[in-house]
Amino acid sequence: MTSSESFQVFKILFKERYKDPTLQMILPTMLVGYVFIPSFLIRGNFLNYALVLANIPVISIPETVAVALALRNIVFVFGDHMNSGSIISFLMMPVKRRAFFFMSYFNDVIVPYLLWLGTYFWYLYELSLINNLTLFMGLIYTAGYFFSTSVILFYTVLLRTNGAATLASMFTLGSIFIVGGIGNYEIIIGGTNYNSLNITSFMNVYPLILAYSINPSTYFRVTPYAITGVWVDFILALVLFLISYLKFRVMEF
Amino acid sequence: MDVIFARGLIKSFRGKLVLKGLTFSVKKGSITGFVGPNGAGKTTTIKILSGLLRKDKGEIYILGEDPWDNPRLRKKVSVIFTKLPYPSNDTVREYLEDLNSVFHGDLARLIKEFNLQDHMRKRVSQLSSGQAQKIQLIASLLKNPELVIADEPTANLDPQARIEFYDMVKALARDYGVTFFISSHILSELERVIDHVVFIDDGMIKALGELSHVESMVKGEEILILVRDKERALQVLKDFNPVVDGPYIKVRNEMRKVIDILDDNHVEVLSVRKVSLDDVFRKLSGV
Repeated sequence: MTSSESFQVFKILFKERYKDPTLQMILPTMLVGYVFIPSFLIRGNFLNYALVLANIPVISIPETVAVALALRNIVFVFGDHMNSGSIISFLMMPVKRRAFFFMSYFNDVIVPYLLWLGTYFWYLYELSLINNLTLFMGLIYTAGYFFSTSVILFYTVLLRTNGAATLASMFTLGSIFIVGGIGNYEIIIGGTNYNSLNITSFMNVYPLILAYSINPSTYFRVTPYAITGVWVDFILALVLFLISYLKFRVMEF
Repeated sequence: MDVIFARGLIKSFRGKLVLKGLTFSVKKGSITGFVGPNGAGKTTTIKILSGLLRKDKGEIYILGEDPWDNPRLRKKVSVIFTKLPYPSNDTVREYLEDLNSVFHGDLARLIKEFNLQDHMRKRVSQLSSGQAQKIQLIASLLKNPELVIADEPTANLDPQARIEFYDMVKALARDYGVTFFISSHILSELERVIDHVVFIDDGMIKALGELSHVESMVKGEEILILVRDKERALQVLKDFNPVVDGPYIKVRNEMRKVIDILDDNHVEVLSVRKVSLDDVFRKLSGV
């Protein structure tokens, strides 16, 4: 396996995922999607709250688009190849399974992330809004993104059926997000037993950072748990990714 | 030199033993038929040879190397499947150019040689089965393979397309010196191209070697005769213990001698054939 052959295989995988008109649609959509940042941007005490609100997935279109693109890539390109058997064409190419998996992962997950990262910081830079809060929001999204995509990847490799993988991963992520969100809100509003946030923070970090943005005096109480949540998301993402990789390496077709 | 070498190959799925210690080899430059009834283990064997399944036990070498997760072999060995396993939305041009960007074959020459110009814009999903197999065969040549493994390549083809496919195989073996290992249960066409055969049944090798050797091993001097007047022929040949086999009369003796006797007795002979691969198949698989 030469580097030239590996690069050609990489190019085929990239082209398959991002051929016309995917990139032409995604990039402008992401850039336009940041419109919520300036539209929420009322100065003064409202600033932090507006920034946090504008960066919550679903409200933030680019973050949602990045996850949707990764979902499409993992389930309906990579997963579909496994499901339909067309992955055999790629396994007949002169690359190790390990290399094929990492190339697919890069194209499926890392590329959408880089698109989001690039547009996010470009937009913030243009607005002179790169600060600790926006950096931390970026970090929260990064952890959540890799956690979510690892869950999707795990189900895709485990179930090898597009519909089941989509349903299972959306149900799992939705449940975690909602249950975690409610749990975090209850704990924060209750104002006691903050230690429970160690368990629930990773499920939905946004209520913690929202609490801070509404009431900056909670900074020292909630921020450590938000950081714990981010770490747990990263660790779970890594564990699920490794399980998926190890399973794929010995997978039979 | 053996291009494929398997010894004691064992594979099971969920506790069910599918390959029960296969031992066989394929010689360089041969066109070897891999035949056996459905469920005998042909596809499992071919998937192990292709590196898509792992063996449980035993040895398997292709060109001296283990096929599992082996990129070096991918450059020397092509595999043709029953269906073209490629993203169906891609055009033929995209498919062949993608592969050629990796293997650097002479695509332009192959397109011209196989008259593919009219099909290049078609989507893979729009190809007929015959066209798809032709494309697969051509794609397999992009890497100048030493070995082509084909799993039931003509299963979905009509008789004319099957004949064309095997004509191409013969030409490629002759012109490029490629070794072919072809699994199939459509034996009448396969028999026209192969020179060696490996017969598998119930996960075990039942016979192998040169085609003529395997055929003689099974039937000896048996011949099948189709005559216009079957009753009279049976009477004339009664000393040879004739057996009716469908429209044929089966006898065990020298072909020349049997024909002479029928001619002397004015029995019109419509067709005579020695044992076929079909007969070997039926005998060995107990059908």
